[in-house]
Amino acid sequence: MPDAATFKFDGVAVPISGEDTLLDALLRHDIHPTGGGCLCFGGDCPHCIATVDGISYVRTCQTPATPGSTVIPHPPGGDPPLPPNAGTEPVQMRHEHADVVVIGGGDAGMAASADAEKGGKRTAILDARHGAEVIGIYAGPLVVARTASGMRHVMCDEVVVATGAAEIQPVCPGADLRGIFTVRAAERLHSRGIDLGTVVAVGTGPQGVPATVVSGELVRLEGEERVEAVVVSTGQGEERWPCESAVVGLGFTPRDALYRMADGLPVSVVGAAAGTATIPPCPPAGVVCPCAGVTVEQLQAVWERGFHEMELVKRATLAGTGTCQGGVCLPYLRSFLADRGAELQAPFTARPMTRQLTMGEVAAGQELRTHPRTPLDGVHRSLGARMDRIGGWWRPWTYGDTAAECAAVRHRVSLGDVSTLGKMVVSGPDAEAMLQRIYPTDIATIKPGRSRYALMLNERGYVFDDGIVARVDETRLLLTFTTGGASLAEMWIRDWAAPFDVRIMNTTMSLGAINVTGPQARTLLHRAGLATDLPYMGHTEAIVAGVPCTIFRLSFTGELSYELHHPTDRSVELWERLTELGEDLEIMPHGIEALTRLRLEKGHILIGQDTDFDSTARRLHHDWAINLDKGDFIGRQAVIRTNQIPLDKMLVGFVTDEQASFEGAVLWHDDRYVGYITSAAWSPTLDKGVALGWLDVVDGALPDHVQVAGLIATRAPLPFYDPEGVRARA
Amino acid sequence: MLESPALGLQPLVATRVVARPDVLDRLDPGEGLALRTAPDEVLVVGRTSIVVDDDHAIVFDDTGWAGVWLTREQAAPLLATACEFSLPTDRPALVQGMVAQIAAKLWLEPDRVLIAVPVATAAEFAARAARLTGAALQ
Repeated sequence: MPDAATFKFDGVAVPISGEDTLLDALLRHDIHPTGGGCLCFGGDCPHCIATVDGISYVRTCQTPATPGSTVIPHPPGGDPPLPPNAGTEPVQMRHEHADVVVIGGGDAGMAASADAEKGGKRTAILDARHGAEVIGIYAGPLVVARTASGMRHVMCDEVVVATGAAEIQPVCPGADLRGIFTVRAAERLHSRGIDLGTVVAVGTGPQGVPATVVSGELVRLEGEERVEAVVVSTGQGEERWPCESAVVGLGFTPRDALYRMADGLPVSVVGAAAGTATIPPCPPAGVVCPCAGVTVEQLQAVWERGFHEMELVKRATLAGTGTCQGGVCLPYLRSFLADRGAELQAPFTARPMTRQLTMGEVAAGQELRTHPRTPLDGVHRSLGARMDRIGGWWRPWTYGDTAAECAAVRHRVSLGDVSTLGKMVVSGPDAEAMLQRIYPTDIATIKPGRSRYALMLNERGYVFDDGIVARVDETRLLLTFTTGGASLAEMWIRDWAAPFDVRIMNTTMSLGAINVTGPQARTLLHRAGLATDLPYMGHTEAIVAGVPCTIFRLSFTGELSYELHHPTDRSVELWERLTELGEDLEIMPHGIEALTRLRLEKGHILIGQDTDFDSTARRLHHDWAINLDKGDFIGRQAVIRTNQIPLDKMLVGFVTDEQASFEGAVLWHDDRYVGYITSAAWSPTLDKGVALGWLDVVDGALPDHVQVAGLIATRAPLPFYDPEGVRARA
Repeated sequence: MLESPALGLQPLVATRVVARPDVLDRLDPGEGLALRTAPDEVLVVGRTSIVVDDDHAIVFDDTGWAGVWLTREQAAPLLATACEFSLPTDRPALVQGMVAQIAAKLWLEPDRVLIAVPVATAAEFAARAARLTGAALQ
C-alpha cells in the first residue's frame, strides 16, 4: 500500500487502509497498542487504549484512523503523562431535548426507537459506533454523550438502554499475550482482510474464520510475547493446541452499566443488554482486572480478610474502578465470590462516567458564575478603576488613590456606586405585620418618610443580613439588604410571606443607586435641585439633576450622606451631572477599598466579613437593634435564651500604633489564642491602625490588650471616628 | 453600559407589576406584551404606566431589562447549545430558566423568540451567546 495515508504510532508510520479504525491499521501491521491482552473491538476492555493526538485513554478500536494522527502507547503499568499544553479551545456542548433517548443503534435499539416513534414520541438514538458515546445518565433524565465535535446533553422523559452485550475476556495465565481475540474481534479482522494465521478457538468459534475449535476449559495461553498455544482442560487432562492466534468464545455479559447507574429514573433496558449474564468458571489464577492489575491471588487475600460482598471487594482491591469500569473483571468477581460460597451477587454499582473524559469535556458548557455589572460599570472603567468581583458583582475596588478617595469623603464630597445593594418593595394590608414578624426592630414605630437600620435574624437568633427598612405609607415599605446577602434575604422574606396579604417586588437589578457622601454633599444636592433637606434617616422622592430619585439620608461612611435610588437607564446621566456640579468642590469617586476603610473607622460591621454563622446581636454589640418588647419575631426566643448565657466572645474594636494588623490575623493573650481580626486598615484620619475582631472572654472579662502579628492591639470603644455621630447627622 | 452588538440586546421598555393573581388575570396590557412571570407578577413589555385594579399593587416602570427578538431560525443555534431546559411545543409560551447559565426569559411565538435578561447581565449574556453560537455544533 505505497500510497496509503498514514498515522504515527510511537514514531512509526502506520498505513491506513479504507475505513480502518486505528486498531485495524495497527493489527494489520502486527502492532498491539498496549503490547498484549485480548482484543474485543467492542470498547469493553482496556487492551487497545492509547494516547491519540494528545488525548489519553482513547479506545483505538472505536476510533477511525485519521491520516496524520499521532498515537502514543501508554507506559506499561503506569498512567500516561499529562499533556504539556491542553490548548485553549473549549470543548463545545449542545443541549438537546427528546421524548425518548435510545442508547444503542442495533436491532433492539432500532426496534425501541420505532415503537416510540409510532407512539408519536420524538426519539434520539445515540450510538458509539456512530460517534455518540454515552458516558452517563443523570437525574432528569439527562443523557450525556461524547462526540468528536463536543458534548451532547440530551434532556428527555425516558431512556432505553440497548447497548448489547460484551464478550467475556479470558482470565488465565498468558491472557496478556499478543494474538488473543474475542470471537467478534476475530470475525471483524478476518472480514477486513487481516491475516490471523493459524487460529485455535476455545468455546464458541468465530463464523467464517478458518479455525480449529477446541472444547474444554481454558487453562492457560502459552507463548513468549505472542500466543503460541492454547491449553485446555478436558476430562482426560490438559490438551495443548499450537496456534498463531487464539480466539475465545466464553459467553456474554450484558453491557448494562448505563442502566445500572440510573436507579430510580425512567430508564429501561432491552435486547442483549437485558440478557442473562454468563458466569464463567472461577479462574484459579491470572489477572482478573487488567486495569488495576488485580489478580486472583489478591482477590483471595481480601476474601480471607473478610471482604465477602461485591462492593467491599471492589473497594478493597480497586477491581472495576479502572478504564473499562468492570468490563473485564465483573463476571469473574461474581464467579469468584460464588465459588467461595457466597451467593451469586448482583453487579456492583455503576456510576457516571463510563468512559474517561478530558477535563475539557467535563467542563464543556460550564461557565463561571455570572457577575452582574452595575449601570455605571462603563463609567468606572473609563475612569481607570480597578474592577473586582465583590459580593457577586463587578465593582470598582479603587480608582487608583484610595487615600485621596477617603480624603474626599472626609473633607469634601464623593460619589460611590451602591447600585448593588439589595432593594425590595413590600406593599399590602399585611406589609407591616409581615415585617414585624421578620425583623427584630419595631416596624410599627417607623413613621412614613423615615427609615431605620435593621438586622435580619434566623430562627436561632443569628444575624445573617442587615439593611434599612423605610416606610412610604401605612401599607408600603422599602427594604435594602447587603450586596452579597440580597438573594438570600429575598428568599427568606418570600418564605415567610405566605400567610400575609402582601405584594413583594425585588428591584435590586432595576434600580441604580449613587451614594453622595461628605461634608459638601448637601451643597452638591442643592445645586442638583434638591430644594429641601432631609432629616437623618429620612427619605423622600425628588428630582435630582433632572433624574427622579428616591433619596435616603443615612450614612455608612460616617459623613453626611444621601443615597439616590433611580432608574438604571438614568445612572450615567445622574453620575456625570453630579460630577460636573461638584467640580469646584473637588468631587471625586470612591471605590470599595475606600468605603470599607471609612466604614471601619466608623465601626460599622460588614455582614459576612465581620460576622460568622454564630453571630448574635449581643456578641456584635448590636443589642440596640433588637426590640424584645414589640412582640414575636423570628429568632426572638433564641435571643431571649442566649441572652441568659454568659458572653464567651464579642466583636470589638482594636487600635494599633505604627501599622495596621490584617484580616485573619490571630489574637494572642499570654500565649493563649483569644480570637482573630475580621477587618483591619490604617486610618489616616486617626493616624492609627484600626480593626474589628472576635475576642474571647478570658477569666470573665475581655482582655484590654492582645498581641496580633507582632503588634500590641489595644481594645478601643466603637466607633473609632466621630463617636457622637455628629458628622453623619450634620 | 449595554455592549451586546453580536446579539443585538437592547434595553426594553417595560413595566413590572406585582398584584393579586386574580387582578393580573384580568390585566389589559393594551399594545404591550404581558409576560406572566409568576402568579403575582407580570412583565409588560413595550408599555409603561399600567393601571391595575389593586390598591396595593406595585407598578414599576422597569428599565432593568434588555431583550432581543430573533427569528426562530436565528434563535435555534443559541437555544440548541445554551438552553438547559426543554422548550414547550405550544406557542406562544413563556419559559424561564438558565440560558448560557444566565437567568433568562424566553417568549416563544410561532415564528420568533424574545430573549430577555437583566441589563446587569446582558453584556455577559451576549458574550456567551456569541461564543456559543460562533462555534455551535454542526
